[in-house]
Amino acid sequence: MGGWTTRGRLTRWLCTVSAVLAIGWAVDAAADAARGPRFRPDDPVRVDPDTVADAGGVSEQELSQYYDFLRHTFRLPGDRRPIPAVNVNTMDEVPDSMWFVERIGRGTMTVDEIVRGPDRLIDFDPRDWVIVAAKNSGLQPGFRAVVAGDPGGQIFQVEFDPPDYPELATGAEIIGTAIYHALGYHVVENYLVSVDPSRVSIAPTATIREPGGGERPFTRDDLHRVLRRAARRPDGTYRAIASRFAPGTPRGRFRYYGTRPDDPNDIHPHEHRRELRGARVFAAWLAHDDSRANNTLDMLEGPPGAQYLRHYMFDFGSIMGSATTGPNEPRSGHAYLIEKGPDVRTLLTFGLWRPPWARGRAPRVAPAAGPFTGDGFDPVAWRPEYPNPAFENMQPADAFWAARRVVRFSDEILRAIVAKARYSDPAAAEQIVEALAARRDAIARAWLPAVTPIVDPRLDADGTLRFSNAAVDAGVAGPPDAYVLQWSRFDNERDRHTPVGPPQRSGAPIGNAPPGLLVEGDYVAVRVHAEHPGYPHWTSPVELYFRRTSDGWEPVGLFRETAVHSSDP
Amino acid sequence: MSRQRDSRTTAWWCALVVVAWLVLRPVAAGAQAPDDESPAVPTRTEELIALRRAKAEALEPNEPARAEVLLLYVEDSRLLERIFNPAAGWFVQAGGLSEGSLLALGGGYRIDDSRGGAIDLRALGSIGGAWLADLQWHSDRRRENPVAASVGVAVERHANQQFFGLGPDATPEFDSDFDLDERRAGAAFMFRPTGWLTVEASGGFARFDPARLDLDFDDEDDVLGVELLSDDWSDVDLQVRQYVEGAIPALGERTRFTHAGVDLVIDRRDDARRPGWYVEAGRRWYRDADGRGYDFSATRVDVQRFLPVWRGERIVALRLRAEQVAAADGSRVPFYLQPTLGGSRSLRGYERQRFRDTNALLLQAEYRYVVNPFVSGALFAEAGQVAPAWRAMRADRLRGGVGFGLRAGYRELVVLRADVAFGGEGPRLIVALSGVF
Repeated sequence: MGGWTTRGRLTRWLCTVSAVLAIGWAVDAAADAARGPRFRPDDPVRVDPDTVADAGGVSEQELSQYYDFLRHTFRLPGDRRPIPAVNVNTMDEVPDSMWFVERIGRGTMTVDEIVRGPDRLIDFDPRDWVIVAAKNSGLQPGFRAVVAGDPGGQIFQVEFDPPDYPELATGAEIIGTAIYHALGYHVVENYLVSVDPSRVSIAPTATIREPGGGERPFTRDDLHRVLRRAARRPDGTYRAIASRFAPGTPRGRFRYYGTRPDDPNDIHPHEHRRELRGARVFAAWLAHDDSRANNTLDMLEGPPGAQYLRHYMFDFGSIMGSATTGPNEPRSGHAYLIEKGPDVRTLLTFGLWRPPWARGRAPRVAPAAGPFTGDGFDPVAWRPEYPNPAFENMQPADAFWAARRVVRFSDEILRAIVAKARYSDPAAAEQIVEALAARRDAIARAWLPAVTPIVDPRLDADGTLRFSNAAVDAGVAGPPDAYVLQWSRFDNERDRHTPVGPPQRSGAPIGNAPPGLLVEGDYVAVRVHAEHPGYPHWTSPVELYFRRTSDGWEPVGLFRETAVHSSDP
Repeated sequence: MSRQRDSRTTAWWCALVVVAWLVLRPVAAGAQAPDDESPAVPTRTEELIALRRAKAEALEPNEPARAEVLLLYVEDSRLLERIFNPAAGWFVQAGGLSEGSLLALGGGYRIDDSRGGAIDLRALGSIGGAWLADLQWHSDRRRENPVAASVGVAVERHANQQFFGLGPDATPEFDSDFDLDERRAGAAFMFRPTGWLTVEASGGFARFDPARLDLDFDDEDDVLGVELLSDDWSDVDLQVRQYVEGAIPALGERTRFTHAGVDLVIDRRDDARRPGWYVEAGRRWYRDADGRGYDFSATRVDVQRFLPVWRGERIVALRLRAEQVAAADGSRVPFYLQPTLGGSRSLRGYERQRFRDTNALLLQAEYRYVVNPFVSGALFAEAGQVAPAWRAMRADRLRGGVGFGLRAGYRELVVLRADVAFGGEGPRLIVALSGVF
């Protein structure tokens, strides 16, 4: 009996071992096969080819404002997994696409280019307009018109300020357009113009939609009704925004989640697109609490058979201190329209519980600027009017990416942009510049140190490594005690590191490749982290990768390990 | 034996797997190492293009949720506007009848006058028995128009009007009720010189007929009998006494008037949070068309003050409303045209039209707190008094109460209100489709 037992145990042991080995073999082989090279020859991809498939069959996606509000308030759609953004390249940057074009992030835009924004017309302020249609939607009074004598018949949407708040909405639109354009988004051209009613004519074909449906000819009385809802200047003219209709065919709006099932080029879920997640930082900066799907625009461009969608950020008339028809409310940016916690607390205490944003005195503000200040601005806690799936998915790396672009707007640039809005009250311009600068700085303090802020790696041919610390460079953090570097030889095909030499410590963002490391192999890698008593999470390393080129080494990869968010230390 | 052999076979097979793994694994790994002949790995761009081409082969229609389609239709077609306030054609109306009519519903037909105005033909009915039929032309009423005018005729039944007796001492013992039928024709001209000032002049003809008067104490024969035989009139209920003494003007009597009046509205409220002043004042002169001694004038002043607290998130709303109907010499004012207090909008701790006299004063204070833009709450206190003359008003005889409530709507627009009022003859629960002031 004993012999049988021993032999049986041996059999079972052998079987177990062999099964484990077989499984391990299979897994190992599969992993090797799946891993492949980490970097492809064209990494880092600078352009996302999202115009390659014909999108001519895309249907118009008009969205219901009620549905959008209800859906996002009570059951937030989209994938909520806390995964990194899916459309970044190996350098953790967003490739250019029909969604986003790197502009100020490149660091090469001049102040003039930033101020000009998307505008293609120089000194555009025509005197004679011909109304071709009423403006049948939106809160701002206005109409659709062409410039008299324009052979091309380019249509503009002309919109005015509310009577009691001259320059409020139009100023916001001008500033928002320039900033969102510089940030990298596609925006329509917006021009500040002066409309003299006596020089406005009405095309015989112009129509207006009746409140109860149906259309009728647009009349002079209709124009007067529009102008009665608009801010009139003492000289009888009206300041207005002329928005040039974007080229292409309108295809509705884009959602901040999912993809369009009928757009072949739309393969990245919107809630995981970095430029849409990071837009939360930009929206907070500009108090764009109206940042939602209904303020976007998709236009179909290109020749038949090779069409594609361009995605626009749209309608900045209700950013900063403007709520389009008046100034923003104190709640703006602090709480969703419906938010369970504060709402229940307010209800149960008969309103005696005071939300933090209702405390203190209302700031004294210039009417044309509205209540847009840097006081009490918390970029981390900032909220739009209702939850936005992409904003909710924003991770520290996304916010860091966005904050790096925000800090590129120097005071000089901000002044130049605000000057474009031509506020008649210097106090309004000054208030807006100060608010933008203060909020910019708050964003820098909150988000630049939120990850290990190592950026812009360079490896010289002689083996000298240089990189930057975005938080230190922005002046929101002191230099760390040390940077710790671990070099390795990198086998790109197998995605495997072979450490070379002991860890190096450096007091500055600089290091040297160990002798011999650069002699052979096409890739080298270095893991860098920082030791800073104020930011203990900076010990989360950043992996930097370089690829050999004919004249040296090019940075090809930058990967951050998960970092713990920390706002002001 | 067979079992033993099976076990040995298994062991051999297992051992073979282990050996094979040890021998073949390095070979397999070597085989996976890239060389010039291994298939080329696509570039990142090629991979992204391939993904898009693959999606292009399997496109699906973009089908929004049914709820979204429905809501988009409502928005795009302006369905609610078309149903309730179209430029022309049939329309539906909910509410709009006098207090006490309960839920009212109806509709009408609108003819566009092609100049922004319209002719409306309406008919409304309520589950409380009230109804209205009218025909009205009105010019373009949009706020930006400095002038507006209207002309119209109407027949209306104000159902379930309540009567407890005249004066501040009326008791709740006898709750008499009646319907008041009204026929009216009139015209109004409105002038708005600035955005915050509106002046309106109007005039017309009106006929009132208190119908189905149901005196509560008629059914209380024994009570009435006892009271009528009583020597001490102070024991007799005020309403009964007024009835017996004929002190209720135009009781059961139809009256007809020509009237003219002027109204003034000053609205200095901020649209954003509605702080500021709102004042309504008006005077109207009624001339008895039958010459039976019912000439009178009616004066009304309603002053409202809205004080923002905590950056406008809380509003303290204060109101003083004074009404007076003053009979011309030798005339009286029909009881059914005298000001009342009590109900869903004034002295909420009392029944509707609980107090009635020729002078009425109402003081209201509400502390309103915004829960969110769609829901707000309120704590309120109110006091009021009716009297036969202003000099008869006494501070110590003010009636009042307190309470709390919730409102649903959007910002200052209230579409549903629930108040609980204490004090007075409460507690009372009030559910209404409009705000208080």
